[in-house]
Amino acid sequence: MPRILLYRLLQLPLILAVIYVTTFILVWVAPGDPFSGERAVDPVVEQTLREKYRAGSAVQFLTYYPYSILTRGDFGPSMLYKEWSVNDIVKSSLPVSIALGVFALAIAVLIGVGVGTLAAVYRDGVLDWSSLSISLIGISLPSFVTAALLLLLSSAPSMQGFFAVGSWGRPMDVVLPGLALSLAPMAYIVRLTRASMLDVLGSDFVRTARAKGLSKSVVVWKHCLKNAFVPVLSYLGPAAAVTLTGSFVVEKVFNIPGLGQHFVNSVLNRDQTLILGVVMVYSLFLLVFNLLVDVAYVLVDPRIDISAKGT
Amino acid sequence: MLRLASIPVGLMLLVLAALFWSGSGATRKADFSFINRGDIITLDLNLMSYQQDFRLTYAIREGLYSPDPVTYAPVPAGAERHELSPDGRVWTFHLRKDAKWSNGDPVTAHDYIFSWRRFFEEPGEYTYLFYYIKNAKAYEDSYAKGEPIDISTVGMQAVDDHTLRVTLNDPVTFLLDLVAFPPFYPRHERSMVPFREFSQREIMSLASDFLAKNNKQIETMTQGEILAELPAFAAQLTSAEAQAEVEKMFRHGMIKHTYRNEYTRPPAVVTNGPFNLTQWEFKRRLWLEKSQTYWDRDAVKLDTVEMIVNENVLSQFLQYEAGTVDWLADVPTDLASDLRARDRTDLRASKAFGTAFLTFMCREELPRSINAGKKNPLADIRVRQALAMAIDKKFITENVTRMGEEVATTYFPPGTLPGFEVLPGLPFDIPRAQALLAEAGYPNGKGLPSLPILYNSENPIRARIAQVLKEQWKKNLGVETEIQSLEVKIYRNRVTEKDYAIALVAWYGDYPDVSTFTDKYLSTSLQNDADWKNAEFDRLCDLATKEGDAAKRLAILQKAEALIDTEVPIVPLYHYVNCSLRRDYVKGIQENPRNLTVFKGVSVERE
Amino acid sequence: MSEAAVGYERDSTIPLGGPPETMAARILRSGRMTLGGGLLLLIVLACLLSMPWTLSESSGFGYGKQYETKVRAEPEPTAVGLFGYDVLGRSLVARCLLGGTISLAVGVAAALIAVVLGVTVGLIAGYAGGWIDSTLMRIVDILYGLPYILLVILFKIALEDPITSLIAMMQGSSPSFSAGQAANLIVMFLAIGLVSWLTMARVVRGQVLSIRSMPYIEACRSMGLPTTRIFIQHVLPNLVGPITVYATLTVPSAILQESFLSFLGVGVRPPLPTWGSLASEGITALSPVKVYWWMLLFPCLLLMFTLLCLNFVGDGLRDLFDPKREASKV
Repeated sequence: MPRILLYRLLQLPLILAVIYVTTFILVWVAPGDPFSGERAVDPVVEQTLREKYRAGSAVQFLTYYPYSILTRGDFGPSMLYKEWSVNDIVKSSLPVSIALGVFALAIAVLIGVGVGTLAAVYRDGVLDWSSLSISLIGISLPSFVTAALLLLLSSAPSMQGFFAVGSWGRPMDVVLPGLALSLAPMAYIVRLTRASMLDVLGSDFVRTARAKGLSKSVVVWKHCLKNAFVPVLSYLGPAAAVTLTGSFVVEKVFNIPGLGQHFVNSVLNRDQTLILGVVMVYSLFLLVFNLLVDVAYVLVDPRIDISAKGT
Repeated sequence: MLRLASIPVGLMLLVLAALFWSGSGATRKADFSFINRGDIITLDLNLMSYQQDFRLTYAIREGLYSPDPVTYAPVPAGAERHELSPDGRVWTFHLRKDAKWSNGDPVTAHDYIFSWRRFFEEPGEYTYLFYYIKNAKAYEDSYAKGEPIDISTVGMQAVDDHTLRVTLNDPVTFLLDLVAFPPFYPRHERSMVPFREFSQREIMSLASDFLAKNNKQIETMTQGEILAELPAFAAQLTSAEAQAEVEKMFRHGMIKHTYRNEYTRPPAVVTNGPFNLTQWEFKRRLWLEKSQTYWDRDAVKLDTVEMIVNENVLSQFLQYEAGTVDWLADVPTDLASDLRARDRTDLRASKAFGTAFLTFMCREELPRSINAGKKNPLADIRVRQALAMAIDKKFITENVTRMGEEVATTYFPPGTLPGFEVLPGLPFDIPRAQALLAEAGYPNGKGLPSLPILYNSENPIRARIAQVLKEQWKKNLGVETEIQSLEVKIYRNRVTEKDYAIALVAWYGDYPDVSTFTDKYLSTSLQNDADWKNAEFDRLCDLATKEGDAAKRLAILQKAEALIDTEVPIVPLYHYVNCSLRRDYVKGIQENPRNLTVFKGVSVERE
Repeated sequence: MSEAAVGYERDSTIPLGGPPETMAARILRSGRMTLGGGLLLLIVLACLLSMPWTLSESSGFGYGKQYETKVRAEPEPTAVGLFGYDVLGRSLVARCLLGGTISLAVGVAAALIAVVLGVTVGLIAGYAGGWIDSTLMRIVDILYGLPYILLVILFKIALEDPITSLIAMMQGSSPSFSAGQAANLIVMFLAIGLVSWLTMARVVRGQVLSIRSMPYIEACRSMGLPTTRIFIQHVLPNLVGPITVYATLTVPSAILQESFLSFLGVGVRPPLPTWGSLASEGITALSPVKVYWWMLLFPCLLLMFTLLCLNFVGDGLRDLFDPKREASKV
């Protein structure tokens, strides 16, 4: 286990490097460029800007930026937000996305696992049927619709003053966007938990436990849940990476200064340095969380051998 | 069970911790809070071109002249007065002795020259405005080649610390309007020095070592100070090659460098306007405080101003309704028209200095991507006129934009510039349009290829206008067109590279003069994306430039403008309306075509 | 279908969760899929069958036709106007129906592309093994490591121009459905399809690996059957189940991705509607000062029901093809 962990950790920089180059190529060949504005600019003006951002040619870009990242951890200036470096932007917006993401994931896991378990226990009951339908509705509407509806709801006269709209900083500000953000993972977790809980409930050890005279709730919440949680865990790896790095839609609708908006805005503006910066953050999160999930597997169920699992 | 309960509690604690880490929220309320047109793109004078950037710049910086808080006409600001030579070509500005930077330094003529020079050495979008100055273009071109002409030959001289003499190629009647425009504002070199990056890095790091030995720090020296040290530095260099390079730098007075744009951020930024920018939280807020060094500080009524960043239309409006902000500087037409229907008195609408229009490609051949680059029917003036006269623009303003916009028949928005009258353009006239089209050889649109109407996809109003145009041309002329929405960056590339047939575009004037509109369609203009070339038009514009009499000049430009409106390389659709939401207790903001805001005169008088 | 969708055989002996599964519950469970499938079929048929009217420009029911007088007079839904009219005075019901056709087409086409690509890569990787396998899987890993928003937008932007010119070259423009529009739709299919195949490739590869090591394949090989025959006769049929399930579940996610692109303004080009673009138009038509609720409600209802049904059917199919359940049956 420690050896495989070390091996995976050593692999990490390599994968990140490959992702960096892949992203760069994708962004570089895409039509449109970061320096065109609303009006036509003199070629000299454009060339001046290119030189300033060391983006005169792919070679110039690749000889400067990776070196700067490796030696100084500096991703360079953003080409769209001219006074801010990519590091500044990440530093200011990542904590916001993480705060929101942690809240959303917490709700998603708590409600998702709870409802999923209950749905499995009271299988085919009203609870099962309705929980599944409601959770499915959560993912059957585009997130921009649910988010905007929640925002409008918060502005209803009876709610006035309770939720601040379009601001960030107070604990209350997390609630609505967090809720909007949690819908999709919650729906997924409900379904995953329900399915795996049904499997576990049918297994021999549950029958034995019940035969020993343990109460139903103890069996479900103490013994089954731990086992039923494994598939949820493997989903949580990528889900955490996606949720913690922010959502474009939720941030846009609720006006939250998080990282998610930059995934879209940087691409639409061909802000090459910023794209590479946010992609690196996302990929790092994804890789680390997948690694953590593998470690967690072993903690939840020591029989699992992560070295047997492909990356 | 206790263990189980600890999980939710732990998670909530984690959320709170993360929230705290992400930065605390609103700290205090400013005297005046507003939401700008969008987030600030840049506050670097060289690079800025968006209205929201200019708006904030007017609050924190000041030029020789600045817009008056009431009339918005240029009034003396950094300069006390000016003198004009009889031929109208030499302007001498006498700077105010009590004008100070926010760090207490006096504002001198050298600060203006330093700032203007940056536009030649690192050309930006507005560098062309400086071409009125003698030898400015020559300096820019020669600098780009690495052999700059002597900077003192450029028509900007500091006679002394407080006298700036500007020499022009032609009499520019609107020079005061230009110097009141942010690109002409001064900058404080010493505060920018820490953000300087040299192009010749090796040489300059040697120079840095050399200066360090003499107890001087290159990181704190201005370009002039470093230049003075260069001969001594060159003398002690061992390599002849390096020596030659340094000597060349000295000879040309040129140390190639740029500044990281971070110089515009607090706490480093040094400004000379009524307010100081003291806080800039990315994507959250900008905080302005009344400057204690500003010469006219007694006239400044607000102590603190907050610009909240909010780019979502709905949540902007909700913030305004909740009273978080006192002013929404820009309300999108969609929302504005609904507010107007409800007779909201705090919705302020006024004529804008801009026009929405569609532009035709006027070249003989279509670009290769359209109809295989065959003959361009739009090169025929009759086809253009027919298309122009078949558009029911009233339908667009009544159903799509719905802000009571004036239907446009002219490119220049009438009634936005005192003393300038615009002749009416082509009317809406279907029979004449049909006749013209038949005359051009396309009766009922027969024989015309289906041409694409290009627009940028993120603009919902343009999407609807394109659909209306398609329907109307089909109904009124039998002409088929195709709607082509493109992602905004690609759309702009297509238009500027003249790779389109018909496109929906717009133009806003920068400074209050007709030339800010007409210059776009000079055959030599970079912005002439219709590729319309008219010798008579060029001649008239040139005549106007050389004309020293303001009234005569406007009369010439009126003829030039009429040429655009009758030859229709572009079809004006409607003149924009500026819409904003402002509480009644906010005083000192007047609606004006260019949508200028002079924060100096703004006050809040709550009951 | 009802028999197949009953669920886990052994579940009926669960000592927990109340009485053993009743007949009514079984019907309810299978009913979920029948209901889903039925409703889906209804929506699909309505969208497809109305196409001659919604697409035509001459009929009074065209998607692009602007009823200028209606704009001001009575945009609300009525018995005659059905779903009401949008801000340009176009019939919302016509736009919803055509929008459905296009949304579903985007979903199905993207799923097909994902199936073709994913199955091909998965099969090759799983069957060839060795360096081919590891190379292909590393490519999949790297694409997984990139945010899909980035990929989908970049693909969309990059493919737009070449495909437009390609189609224009092939057919020249026809008035009703131009080269630009066709190209735009194809780009949409491709962009979403190209980001949706990764999971499919992994699943198929995993299945192939597990089937390959089964004794009966060993037996086939020792009997001297040619590789291609083993492949087609014995491996492929076992893959149909998971492929169908994932394909069904890719459709709703592709439809949602299109709606997201429409929200960003880089989706299917107007005037062609999709449910996503209608919903995002509906959102902008909703504010405290104006309530064009119908512009949001109807497209969203249709979108929601369709996605719900697709998910029901997908889940039902998953139960149907679940290998564990198959095993317990034997």
